[in-house]
Amino acid sequence: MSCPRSKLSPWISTVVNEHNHELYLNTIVDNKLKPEHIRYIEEHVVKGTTMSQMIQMLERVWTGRTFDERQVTNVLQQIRTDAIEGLKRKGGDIYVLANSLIEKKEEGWDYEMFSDPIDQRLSRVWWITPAQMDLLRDFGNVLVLDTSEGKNIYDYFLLTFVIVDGENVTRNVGYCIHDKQDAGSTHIYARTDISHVPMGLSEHGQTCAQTTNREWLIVFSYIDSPVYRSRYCHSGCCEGYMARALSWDMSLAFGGEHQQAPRFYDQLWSFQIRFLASL
Amino acid sequence: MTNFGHFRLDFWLVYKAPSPKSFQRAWESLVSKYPAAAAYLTEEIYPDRERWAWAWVGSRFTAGIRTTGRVEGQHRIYKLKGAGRDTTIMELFNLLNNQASSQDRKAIQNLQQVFWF
Repeated sequence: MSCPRSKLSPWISTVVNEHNHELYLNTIVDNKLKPEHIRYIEEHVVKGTTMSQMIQMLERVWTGRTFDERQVTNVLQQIRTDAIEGLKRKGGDIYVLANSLIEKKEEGWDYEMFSDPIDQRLSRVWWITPAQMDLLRDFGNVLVLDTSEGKNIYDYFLLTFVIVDGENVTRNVGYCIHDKQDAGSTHIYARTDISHVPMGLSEHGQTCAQTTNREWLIVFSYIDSPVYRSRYCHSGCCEGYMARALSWDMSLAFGGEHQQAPRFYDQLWSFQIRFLASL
Repeated sequence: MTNFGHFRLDFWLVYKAPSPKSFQRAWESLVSKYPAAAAYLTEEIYPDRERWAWAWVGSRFTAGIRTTGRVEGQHRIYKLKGAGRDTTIMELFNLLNNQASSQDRKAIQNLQQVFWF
């Protein structure tokens, strides 16, 4: 190689087509993924599996072999693209969901799908498994529910119903995916549902208590104990929400004297959620 | 301590008042002590008192739950498991059902700890 001053980059002037040592064949690593590796990835990948997690899994099975990050990423990407193409071929995401729910109904699941009367677009779907029905019957005394956004490609909202079992473990007892954006609608479901339970907690207790929509009654038809039949219900405010709201609103009343307080509550709340997620 | 610091302490004392009567007394004293917060307290917080004040809520069975944090915790888990704006409905459906199943497994583990087998 030479590097003349007149040029910006080095030049290869002579190529020697010989090795000054023997070629060590055993040091050459074949990084190309074999069909069994790809098959393993296809069988073990789930939503959210990262490239590094998959490499760790592969290295546990094929001890001593190294895997190229780029190749594993390509396979993961390809699997996802194929899955989405497969969904499209089968008539789309919602169609596949509807079919799986129909199949699950034979196993004792229950579900309901609602579509918009004008454009026939899916407006709401909820489902419940037989195990969740049992949990609702046994531990449905206190029901907590909340809506989350940003959990799917269509921007549907996700409503999760939670109870606490006798071992203090959080148990999800129902899911709903719906397209209503305003909090009022969200809590229409909530309020209707909790009309059958002795105590319900939601962020907007009053909103829940004032609404009369009955679309969600069927979910709680699975709760079948005398206390529910009595239809005695209280709705309560979330204490964390209360503390945060108070802190934010009071910052105006006290003239910004405690500007760290709202941030403190947000951090405290975030810490509490991390803790509760482990239960 | 700042004015807000004092207010916060006083507010939680009112919050924990053991009976509706003692709540009422404490509330009136709180409102007169903090005129800057009076409008908010009277118009926004007070009408809902039966849904948050301990005098009413404390006498009801809530399994120790006083916040929606458990559901928010679940939503955090979904996010950690990959649910995001690129998730298809079927992926979300499977993820949610897997989460319910993992709770079932956790419950069984808890039972095993109790029975030692």
